[in-house]
Amino acid sequence: MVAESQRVVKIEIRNVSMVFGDDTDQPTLVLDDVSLQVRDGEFVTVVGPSGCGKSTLLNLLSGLIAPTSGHLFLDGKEVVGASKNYGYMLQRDLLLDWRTIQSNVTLGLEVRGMPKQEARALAQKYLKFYGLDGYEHKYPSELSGGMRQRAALARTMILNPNILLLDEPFVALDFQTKLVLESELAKSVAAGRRSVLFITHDVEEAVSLSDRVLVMSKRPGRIKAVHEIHLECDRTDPVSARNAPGFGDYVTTIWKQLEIQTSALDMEILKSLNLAEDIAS
Amino acid sequence: MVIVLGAWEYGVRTGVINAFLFGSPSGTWHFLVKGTVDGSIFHDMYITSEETALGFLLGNALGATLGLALWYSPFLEKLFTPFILALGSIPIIALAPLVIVWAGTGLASKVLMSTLSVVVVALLAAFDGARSADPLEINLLYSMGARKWQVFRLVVVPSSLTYIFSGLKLAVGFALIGAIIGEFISSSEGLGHAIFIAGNLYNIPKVFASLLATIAIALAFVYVVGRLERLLMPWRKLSS
Repeated sequence: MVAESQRVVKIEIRNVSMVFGDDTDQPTLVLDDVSLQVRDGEFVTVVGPSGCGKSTLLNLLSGLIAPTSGHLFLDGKEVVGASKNYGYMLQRDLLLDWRTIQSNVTLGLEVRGMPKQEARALAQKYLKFYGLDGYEHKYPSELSGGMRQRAALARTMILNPNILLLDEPFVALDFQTKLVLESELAKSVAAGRRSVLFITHDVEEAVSLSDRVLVMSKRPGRIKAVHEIHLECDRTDPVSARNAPGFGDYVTTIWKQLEIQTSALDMEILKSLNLAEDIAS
Repeated sequence: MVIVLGAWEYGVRTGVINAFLFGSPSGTWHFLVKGTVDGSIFHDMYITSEETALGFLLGNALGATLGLALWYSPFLEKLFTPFILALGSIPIIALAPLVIVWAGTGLASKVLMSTLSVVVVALLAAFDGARSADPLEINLLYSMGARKWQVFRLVVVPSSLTYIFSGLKLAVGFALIGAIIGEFISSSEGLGHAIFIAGNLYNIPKVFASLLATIAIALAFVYVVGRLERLLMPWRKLSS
C-alpha cells in the first residue's frame, strides 16, 4: 500500500477565488481562496450550505467557467476551456430527450468511435446491472426520475472514468432510490480505481460515502474544516454505514459546522430521525 | 361557416349584396367546378405548388444550414448578422423587380422570390435553435471527450430541430407569399396569375375560387410538415 501522501493527485483546486458580476456595481465573492486535492482512489465530498459556491467548484473543474484567480487541475493537466475525459453527473440527469435510453447510455462510446454493435452489447450489460433491462428502447420522458438517474449512472460508468465529478446527483430522488443509487455508486467506485469529487448538502450522504469530507462556509465559500472518515463497516452499503459506530458523531459535528440556523428543537428532531432510521433498518 | 355562406348567397340573390363586387358562393362554386372540369385550376395549382415547394426546400435548406453554421463559427455570426437583419427587414415585394430582371419571368424568378422570403425565417429559427442547446448537455459531451463537431452533431443539431420545425410551419406561408407575389409581378400561369387577372377583370368568383385553391396548397404543405415532424422527432409525441 502506497502511503497516502505519495498517491498521485487526480483532482486539484489551488487557491481558487471566484467573483461573480465583477463588471457590475456589486461584485459577489463566491469562492475565497479554496484549495483541495483528491488523490488517486479517494472519495472526497464537499458539503456546504446552499449558495456557498460548492457547485461553482464543479463548473470550474469542468471548464464551463474560468476562475477569477487560482488554478485547477484534472489528471495533472491545468483546466483551460472545456475539460475532457471525466465522469460528470449532476442533479439534472442530462439525458438527451431525442435518444432512447440505450442510445443515451452509448453516447460516450459513440463519441469515442466504438462500433455500434459493440457499443449496444456493452450498454445492454450496464442497463441490466442498473436494473434498466426492458427500458432500452424507451425515451427518457417515459421514465421516472429514479430510472432516469440510473440511466445517467450507467451512461457515466460505461466509460469507466477514473475521475468522477458529481454534483448532488441523487438530491431529487426519494430516500429508498437514493440509498440504492448511493450503494451502486459506492460499488462501482470500489470496483474501479476512481477518484471522486462529490458535492452535496446532505451530510449523511457525505459521511456514508466519503474517505474525506470538506466543510464549506457560507458565502464567500471557504474550506473551514476537513474530516477523515473512518467507519468500521462495508462502505458500499449506505445503510450499514449509517448504522456504523461513530457515524452519528461525524454527522452531528459536521452539521454544527455548517452553521445552518438550527434551533435546539431542530437538533432533537434530527436525532429522532436518525433513531427512526435505526428502527426502520 | 354554413350560416355565413347561406347569408351571403341569400344576400346576393335578394340584391342586398352586390354580386359584382363581392361575388357569391354559387359563383365561386361554379368556377371551382369549371376549373376542375377543364383542368385549369389543377394546372395553376401545380405551377404554384412547384414554385412554392422548390422555394420552400431551397430557402429552408439554405437558411437552416447558415443558421447552424452561425453557431459553429462566431466569426461567421459577426460577419453575417448585419446582412441577415437587413435582408429580413426588406419587404420581399421590393425585391421582386430585381428578381425578375435577374432571373427572368419563368419558374426561376418565382422560386427565387419564394426562397428569399423563406430564407431569413429559416435562418433565424435554426440559429435560435442552435443557441437553445443546453450548455450543461454540451459540457456533458465534452466530459466524454467529444470534439466540437461531435457536440454540434449530437447535441446542437437535435436541440435545434424543435425550433427549425416551428420555422418550417411559418415558412409554408412565406414560401407561398413569395411565389404568389412573383406571379403577380410577371407570369403567364399559376394561382397568383389567375387571381391577378381575374381581379383586374372584376371576376370576383374566380378570385375566390383561386384563393380557395391557394389555401388548399397551404394546408397540404402544413400537413406534410406535420407528418415529417412526427417522423423525425418521435420522442416529442411522448412528452406532449
